This record gives sequence, structure tokens and C-alpha cells, in this order.
Amino acid sequence: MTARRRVPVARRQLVAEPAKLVVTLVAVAASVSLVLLLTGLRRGMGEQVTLYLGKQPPVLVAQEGARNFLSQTSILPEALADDIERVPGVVEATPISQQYAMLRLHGRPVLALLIGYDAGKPGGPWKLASGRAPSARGELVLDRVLASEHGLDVSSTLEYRGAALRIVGLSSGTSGFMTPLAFALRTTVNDLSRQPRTASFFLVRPEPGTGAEPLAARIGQTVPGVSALTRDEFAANDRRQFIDPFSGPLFAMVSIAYAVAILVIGLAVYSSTAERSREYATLKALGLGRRALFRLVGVQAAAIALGGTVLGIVLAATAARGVSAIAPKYLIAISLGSAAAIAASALAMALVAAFVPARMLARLDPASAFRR
Amino acid sequence: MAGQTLVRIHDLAKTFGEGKTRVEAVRGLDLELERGEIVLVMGPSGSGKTTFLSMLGGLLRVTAGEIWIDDTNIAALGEGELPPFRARTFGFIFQDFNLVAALSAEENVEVALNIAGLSGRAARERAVELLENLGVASRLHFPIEQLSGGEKQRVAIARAIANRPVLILADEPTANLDSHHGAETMRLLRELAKEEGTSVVIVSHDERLREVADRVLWLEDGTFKALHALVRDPVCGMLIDPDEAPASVERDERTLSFCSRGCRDEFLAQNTPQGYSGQEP
Amino acid sequence: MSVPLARRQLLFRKGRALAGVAGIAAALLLVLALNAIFAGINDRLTAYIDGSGADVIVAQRGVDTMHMTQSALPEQTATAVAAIPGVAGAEPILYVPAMIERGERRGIVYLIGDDSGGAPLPVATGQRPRLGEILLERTLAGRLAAPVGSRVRAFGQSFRVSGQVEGLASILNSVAFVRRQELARVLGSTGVVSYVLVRAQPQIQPKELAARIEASVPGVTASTRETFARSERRVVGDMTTDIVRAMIIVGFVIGVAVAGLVAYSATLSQLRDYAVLRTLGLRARRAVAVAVAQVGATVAAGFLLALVLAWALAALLPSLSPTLVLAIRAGDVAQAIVVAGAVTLVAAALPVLRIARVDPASVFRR
Repeated sequence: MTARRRVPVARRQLVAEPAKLVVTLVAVAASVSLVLLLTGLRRGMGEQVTLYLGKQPPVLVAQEGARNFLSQTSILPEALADDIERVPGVVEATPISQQYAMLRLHGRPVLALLIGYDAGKPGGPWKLASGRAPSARGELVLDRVLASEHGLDVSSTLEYRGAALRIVGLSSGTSGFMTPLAFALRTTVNDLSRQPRTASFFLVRPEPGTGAEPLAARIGQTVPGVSALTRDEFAANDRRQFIDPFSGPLFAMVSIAYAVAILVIGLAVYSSTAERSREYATLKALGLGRRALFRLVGVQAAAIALGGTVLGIVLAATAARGVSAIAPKYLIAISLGSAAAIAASALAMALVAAFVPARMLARLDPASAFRR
Repeated sequence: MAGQTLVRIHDLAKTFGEGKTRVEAVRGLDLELERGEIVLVMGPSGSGKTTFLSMLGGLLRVTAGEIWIDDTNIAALGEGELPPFRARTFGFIFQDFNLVAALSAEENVEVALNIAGLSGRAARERAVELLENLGVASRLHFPIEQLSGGEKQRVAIARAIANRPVLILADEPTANLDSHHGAETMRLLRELAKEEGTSVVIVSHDERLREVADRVLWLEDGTFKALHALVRDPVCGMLIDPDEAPASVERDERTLSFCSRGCRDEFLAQNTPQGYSGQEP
Repeated sequence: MSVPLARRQLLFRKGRALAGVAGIAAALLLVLALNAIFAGINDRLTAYIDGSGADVIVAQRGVDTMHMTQSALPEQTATAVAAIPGVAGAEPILYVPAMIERGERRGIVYLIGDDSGGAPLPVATGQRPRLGEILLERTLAGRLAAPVGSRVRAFGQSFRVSGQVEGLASILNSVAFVRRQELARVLGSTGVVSYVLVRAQPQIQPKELAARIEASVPGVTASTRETFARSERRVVGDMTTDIVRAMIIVGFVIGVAVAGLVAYSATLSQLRDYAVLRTLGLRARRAVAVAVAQVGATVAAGFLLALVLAWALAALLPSLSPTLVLAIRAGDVAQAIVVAGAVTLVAAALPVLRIARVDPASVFRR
């Protein structure tokens, strides 16, 4: 027996009304891309927040009790560097002074992360787009994107905490939505804070072959009044501190988006089914079984769900790229994992959405095919 | 009122399409209709009956010709003038009833009154009155889906006559009804024509309607051909087309038609005491 | 028209009408909820300043914000400010971000070191902090499981929880109070304060006093509480504007899609009815109005449902997560109305076009 061609009823039903199909797919795609963009924004924020740390030596020493690089205060005497360097396994301990800087640009408060470092030592900008690194008091290197957003360039001045800082260079790869970077000499930063001869953190370079974790533990045990952790631990804590507060609202938004997607798919399939109840009754009268009918409905729902999801992933990826081109301070990091998870959830969406139309089909009376 | 001409159709034509796909649905129709007259239009499918009815009701633009209803030529009315004219002039009755499913029976009639300008309690009361007169008072607030075919047609008729139209246009009014309700519909149409003076144009395949029609027209290939009204066989009572009667007899300057030679023979036997002296046809 | 045609048509298929309302409500709720979350954060942002009783806030030159801001003044600034005529009181405070720990649990706060233990802000439970003690915000205390009398750590020092305050925390940050001299010692920054909170005497306007302070004391910026608060709110506002705008676009797209889908479905199933009504004499304009009214009613109902849900969320969420405060502002509601209106216009286009073209003669088609 040769394979018989079966009429692709589901496909025909779907494309019978192209306008309706397009609108449905767009609605599902919008919901899906919203989920991806929101989660991507959250992930991107997490990555941006640890931008600076990622470039630093593997161990950091902070004031006792500190476990984050950002979000809390850490002040240590700069002389502590010698004590740290005496710990076996430490090659160099470099002091930096770090603070949130609320700059005033064109009358608006603009947040940046100001790093005060010692010239020639680690902790400064790793890539300059133009100009040079600071070498004297009052000199500043500013993130390139932030500078261009506010019409600043090399040799512009800006006022900060009563001091006039002159931009001598623009850095690249230092952009961030909440924490774009700025660099100055540590003495400059300490002067502004009225805390001379202090450091927020010490960047510790270990001897080759020395593990970061054991070294951090050793420093913690040897040097009093400090909290020594690996760079990765600090970064993880920072990421969590930034992202956690948004989990609740994010969960709410994502739930709403999913609900909308399911509703739209269900509505589309239901209205198609209801409009064609006569045809389905006829099919039932012709002997089409329950399973086959459910499959019809299920296939339609699945097709819309998958089509909308794929479209949504494409839309989100395009939007993310578009955003980073137009507004580079935003990083929307859509991981393959989240895209895959959403694709998998598409089938679940379809199942839930097909429930009501399937039930309607089950209760449909085949005799109604004969009624006018 | 009888004897007054209500409708004057002159040289009515409708052409669809152009060039190769050009179709003349209706060609050069002439017709005059009097007040209170019932005209039945019959003919094969695709003969232009529906096109004719659509043009008569102001639903389809004519290609040529005039349609005068009293002193208004519908063909010359503007797009904006047609709707109110339709509302007060015509009553439509459809094969599928065409009632609005979302409205109740009473509301279906009321909305026709609203459209013609009557609103509020006055409209509601008139709708109720009409439905009571038609015997569907018990179904006033029911959704249409729950009504039987006969009840739906009565609601549709109530809607059609709500604004006291001068002309009723009916498209296959009995096609979806059983014989009992079909007969009832015929009776109602006849009442409307004779007692209210409403003219009625019916388009239908239903032979039974020839009983109530004053005139029967045959529309074929876009033109009219008059048919005689049906007459009854005096012996067996069957309705016969006199043009096609299998047997007939001339008597007192009248032609009597019979369904068969048998009935004719029986008639002659009863009415010629001297014995059979009938003529062979 | 005494027959409510639009209403009857809309409610004839209750399931579809409900689905439309629900979908639109969801789309609008996205916008309303996001705005409300940010507004809630904003409101709490200035809770401390608003409750501090300060009329003027003195900060390091060029500084007029507190969150994510550094400000450092010599301690004598407070004395200098206090001497200015018109000043009823000048309280110096230290204001630093800090990590509070209890066992394995941690939380970020803005740690305020003042001389009054948090006064005049009311204490909800317990006492104001003395040396060695700390006053915590209630939600953080709950999260750390740190009731009054328990101990927490900050900067490696142990503090006894003396009491709790309420209403000062948002999802982004919390507040705690310790004695100023103690905090200065712990930070190794004696002789430095962050801000000076100034109370004005009744006869002088805050604006005038601020100007007077700036003129008299070098190296400071003096802002009225109003200006300061506005500047604070601007920080969050600026950061969240883009996200809100993006959400509005998404909400609009989803709203149009849902409303459009429902309108399209409804129009198709009502096409025959419109043809019949046109036959009865209903003008095309009126028929279109009936269709648009259905779309409008659906969107309006969706908007109202979104408002109700937003209010419900605002009432329920804080009991689940006390810092998740939603503030529904009139401006944001107005914005949602505009979005809803735009959705109606776009979604109604399809049925309008379709119904305007209905051929009344189609009533004769089988």
C-alpha cells in the first residue's frame, strides 16, 4: 500500500486567514521577546556591574566585613599594602580608592563609578579610545560612551564635589547603564573624600602557581581587620546584589507576558474552531475520531506557539543588537539557554492554549452538520 | 387604494463585469405594480431574480432604466438618500430569516423601528404589539436561536412590516418552512396586501405561492414572461396551470382546466344530463 | 437607538469578549505595574529626608543628592552653619553605604550616623540607638531575623539592635541608624561629616536660608529639601525612563494585537448582521460606529480591569515583600489611558474598513 497523501487540514485552517495569523504571531512574538529582553537586560546589568572587577587581579582585600566591591563602604590605611605584601604568595598589593560618583552634567545627576588608582600601577583603564591616562591631580579619564552622550571630550572640564576635573582621555570598553567608569589618580579621589592616605581595596597579584582562594584565606588569617576574597567572589556578590531586588518585579512581568501569549494562542485557535464548527461537525460525522480532532487543534496551537516564539526570538535578538547600537550603555545579554528555554516552553503554552478549543470540539454534536 | 399604481419599472437593466466577463443579468425589464397587488416572480436559478429584487429594494445600483416607487425614482437617489428611503418604504423577508442573533425577538423588530427614527418606549411598544398580533408574544425576550423556524419567520415578518412599508420584498419566504408554516406565511402576506394595501413582490420556486399571487411572472434570461395564475380542477380540486392542462373544456365562455382526461370526463358526465357529448380536445 | 446594538453584539460571544478584555488588561497592566514599581521606589527614595524635618540640606560643593553619592565636609561646617542667623538647628550626619550581617544573612543599607539616633523619625519598636547599638528598618530586620536585642555586624563591629523603623526602605535599599562618632571611628574618618541637616526658624524661607548658607560657608552647596528631593528622584527617573518607554511600546503592540484579533474575529462573525441592518436602512456610518463602539468598550473594560489589578497588586504585594511598594500615580494612569486610546484607534481600523465596505445586497446570498 502506497503512502496516501492526507489533506493538511490544520495547515489549511491556519493560512485560510492570513491577516489573523499574522496578528496572532505578532502578539505571541511580542510577549516572547518581552520575556527575553527583560531577562537579557537583567543579565546584561549583572555583566556590566562586574565589568571593572573582571579586569583586575584575582584577589582583593577590603575592610573587615566587606563582601562586595560595590554597594558598601570600605576604607583601609594605604600603609596596609606592606603588611599584605609580607604574606607569602603575594607579589604585589596595589591600593585603589573606589566610589560612586554622582556627576552633574548639563544640570542632571549622572552616575559613574570613579576609580582612583596610582599612576603606572594596576587598576586603571585598560583601553583608551583617545587621549592619555591621568598623571597629575585633577585629571580624569571618562568612559567614551558616557562622554559622547553628554557632549564631553578630551580637554573638557567638569565639576565634581567642588573640584574642577579635566578630561585627559576617553576609555573604551567601560560603558554601563548604571556604572560607567571614570578614572583618576588615587590622591585626587582621596582629596575629594577628605580621606588622605587611604584605599578602598587592595588589588593583590599572587605568585605564579598560587591559587587565589588559598591566598585570600591566608591574607585574611594573617592581616588583622581585613576581608580578603577572590575577585570572582566579589563579582558574584555584586551581581547578586544588583539583580536580586529586581527578581520580584521581573517575575511579575514575565508571568503577565506568558499569560498574554497563551491567551492569544487560545483565542486564535478557539475562534477558528468556533467559526468552523459546522465543518468540524461534518468531519466528525464523516468519522474523524476524537484523537484526530484534538490533534488538529493541538497542531494549530503548536504551530502558532512555535512560529510566534521563533519570531519573538528573532525580534528580541534584533532589538538587543539595535539597542546596543543606538544606546551602548544598555547591555541586553540574551543567552542561548534562555532562548532554548523559551522555545521549549512554547509547546507548554500550546497545550494550555488548546485546552478550551479541544473541549469545545469534544462536545460538538456531529448531527449539527445537517442543521441549517 | 386598489387600482393605484405604486411601482413603475421601465427598461431596467443590470450588467456585471466588462469585456470577456461581461454578463447581462437583467435586460430591459418593464413592470407595473399596483397597491395591494401580490406578484410572484419565478424562474430558473441564475435567471436574475435576486438581481431584480436587489435593484427593486435599492440594494444594487441599476446599469440602466428607472424604478419609480410613487414619485421617487430609486435609480436616481444618492447613496446617502437610499438608507432612510429603504427604511420607510420597504419590508424585506428572507429565506434564512436573517435575524440578528445577538438580539432578542422583540429587539429585532425594535431595531428596525429605531433605524427608521422611532425610539424608546414607543418603539418597544409597537414591536411588542406587532409580535403579539403575529402570535409570538410568548417568545418576546427569547434569543433567536431558541425559536422554531415558523416563529423566526413571524418575527421576520413583524420586522418587515414594522415601519408600515408600501412594498414588501420577499426572497423564498417559504423555503425553510414546513407546509403548515408555509401556508401561514402565505396567509399573512395575502392579509397584508388585501387589508393593508401593501404591495408584495415574491421571488420563489415554491409552486404553492401561485395560489396567493395576483400575477405570476417568469423571469428567464433577464426578461419577464407572464404566466397565468393557477386554477383549480373543479372535480378533484388540484391546482393546475391552464396553459399546460392535460384536458380542458369550454363552458359559458370560460375555459375549465382539468388535471386529467378522467376528471374532465367525470365533469362532463355530471354536467351534461343528456349524456356524453363532449368534444375531444 | 433604544436597542443597545453594540452591547448586544459584544456580549453575544462572552468568551471572546472576556478574552479580549483580559488580554488588553494584561498589556496595560505591564505598563501600569512597571510605572508603579518605579514610582514606589521613587517615593521611598526621599522618605528619610522628608521625615527628617530638614528644611535645608548642606552638602559638599556640587552635591545635591544622597543615594549613590559621596559627600564629605569638615566637621566644623555644622558649627559654622549653626551660627548663621535663621538657622534653628544644624545636625551633622554621616551617610555611607554599608553591609549589615547576621550569621550567613546580609543586607545593604545606607548607614546614617547622627547625634540623635534617627530623630525625629518615629521608632516603631524598641529604642533609639546608643553607642554600640543600631536602629534597623523593619524589613531588613525581618530578613536578617534580627529582632530587638539581637546582634548584627557592620564593618566587622558588633552592634546591638535597639529598635526598628518603618517605611524607609524600597526594593533597592534600606536605611539604618547608629551614633555618628562611633561610625566615624569605625570608618577612620573622624573630623568628617557627609551632610548637615538644617532646620529653619519660622520667619525665614528655606530658599533664602539656603542662599544665605552658601554665601557664608565656603565649599558647600545648600539645597532646600524640595530641590534635594527632586534631584534624588531625577536619578532614578533618568535611569528608568528608557525602560519605561520600551515597555510602553511593547504594551502597545500586545494591546493592539489582542484588540485587533478580537475585533477581527467579531467583525467576521457579525458581517452578515451588518448587511441585514444596512438593508433595513442603517447608514454605513452608523454601522461603523457600532463596530468601533465594541472595540472601544473592550479596551475600556480592559483598562479598568488593569487598574483594578494594579490596585490589587499594590495592596497585596507589600504583605508578601514589604519593600515592594507600588505607587499608582495620576500621571501614569493618564499615560495608560493614552496608550489604551491609541490601541483602540489602531485595532478598530480593520473592522472599520471591512464594515464600511459591506454590500447590503449580500443579504440575499445563501
